[in-house]
Amino acid sequence: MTTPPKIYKTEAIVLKHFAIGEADYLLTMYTPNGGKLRAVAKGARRVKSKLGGHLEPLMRTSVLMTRGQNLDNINQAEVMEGFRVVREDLDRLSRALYISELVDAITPDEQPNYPIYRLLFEAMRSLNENAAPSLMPYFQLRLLDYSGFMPELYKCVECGSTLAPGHHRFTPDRGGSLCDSCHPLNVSVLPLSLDTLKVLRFLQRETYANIERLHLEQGTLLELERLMEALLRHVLDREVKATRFLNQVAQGRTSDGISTLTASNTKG
Amino acid sequence: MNYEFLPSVAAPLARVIQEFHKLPGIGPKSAQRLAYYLIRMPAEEAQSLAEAILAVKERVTFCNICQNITENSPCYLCSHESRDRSRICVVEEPMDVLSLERTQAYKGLYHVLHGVISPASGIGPENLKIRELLERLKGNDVQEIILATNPSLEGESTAMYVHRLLSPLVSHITRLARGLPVGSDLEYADEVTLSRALEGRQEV
Ligand SMILES: [Zn+2]
Ligand SMILES: [Zn+2]
Repeated sequence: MTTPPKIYKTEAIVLKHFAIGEADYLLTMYTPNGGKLRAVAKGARRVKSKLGGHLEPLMRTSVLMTRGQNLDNINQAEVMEGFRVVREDLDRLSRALYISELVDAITPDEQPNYPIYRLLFEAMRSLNENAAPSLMPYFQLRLLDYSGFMPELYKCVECGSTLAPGHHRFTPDRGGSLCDSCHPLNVSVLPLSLDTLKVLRFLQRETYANIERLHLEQGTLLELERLMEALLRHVLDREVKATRFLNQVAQGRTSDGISTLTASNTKG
Repeated sequence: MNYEFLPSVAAPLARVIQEFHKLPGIGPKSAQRLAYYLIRMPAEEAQSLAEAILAVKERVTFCNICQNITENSPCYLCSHESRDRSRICVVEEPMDVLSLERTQAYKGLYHVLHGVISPASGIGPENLKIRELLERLKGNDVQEIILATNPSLEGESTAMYVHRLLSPLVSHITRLARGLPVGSDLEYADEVTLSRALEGRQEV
């Protein structure tokens, strides 16, 4: 067996940082060949640090690292893409924060998964460029797929029969669609309209270039949103915390955001 | 590490280690070091430390105007007659007020949010003193809001969120200029900081 090199270089997308010690950051990053990694950036919180502005969350950056006993150390960092449009637009930013939390929540440590890196990168680029409404359901569905949780969209998860064209139901607990004759007990069930089913199948097989141009009706978008949220809650066994901020930002755009501040202290 | 169940550690010592361990940035090693330091400390110094901790909890409160930490509400700055009441500078933490006051370049009032929006850590706008800021604007003639949160991702998110809420209420909302820190090197500046510094350039 060969020992891995002590110093190595990789590109990474920073998912989050956490202040530790006097002036350090503990970073969680997603890398193309190493999956999710945690590393320490010593002194990165100092104003004069050479690392600081190159390791902010949501940046795509190139890092030089030294393997440590517990955690690796970041020696050098140089930002490749800062996604500045995302950072300066509240709607895009709230979606990017959701995306980064979701990747962090669903991926295990140090398990290489190149498709997830590519998907994350693609999503950040898309948010920076045009922020198409189809991005979120596409991202959620593909992330589930690459993590081994692709929902069944062609057969009934209860009896295995092929779905006939029409309106059906979806069960997040079983991870797929239900035919009209099956009514399993004790599982949560959501409506699955024919339009939404078609969109889901489209998102499942098409490349992102085709999906960007997809026009989605408001009703379909809402149904997709609910479905994905329920499925993710089932897979993660918890809420994605950033969902709340995503909704607060969306509400602030349509009505008065002040109400989201006053009506919100019910839940911690 | 749970010291309560280590028979080799005296119970009062174990308790103080546990308490130190709860403080931010204090790991188990540091907690032990501080605890053993306490034991060697003269009794009157230990007394004084204990009193200071109690006093800070009993006598310190939030200013009902700016939300800064103060002994008397309204605080010194909010009750000072020479301060310009038409300007409010919004900052993350009480420490930021001290930093800005040291410059002696600002004569307006402050508003302390006590944190930043950080959705993945479960800190949303409802956990900050944003509602208090909105209340403060009612019936007061505020001409300018200066958003002085840090140029970090969390600081920017917070500034943008507050901006969106306040823009129908205040005509003039500004953000601290973002550029290169003094003593930094162009070679090591990141692209976001550099491009902002370029946009914020000034006639010399
Ligand atoms: Zn069936
Ligand atoms: Zn005050």
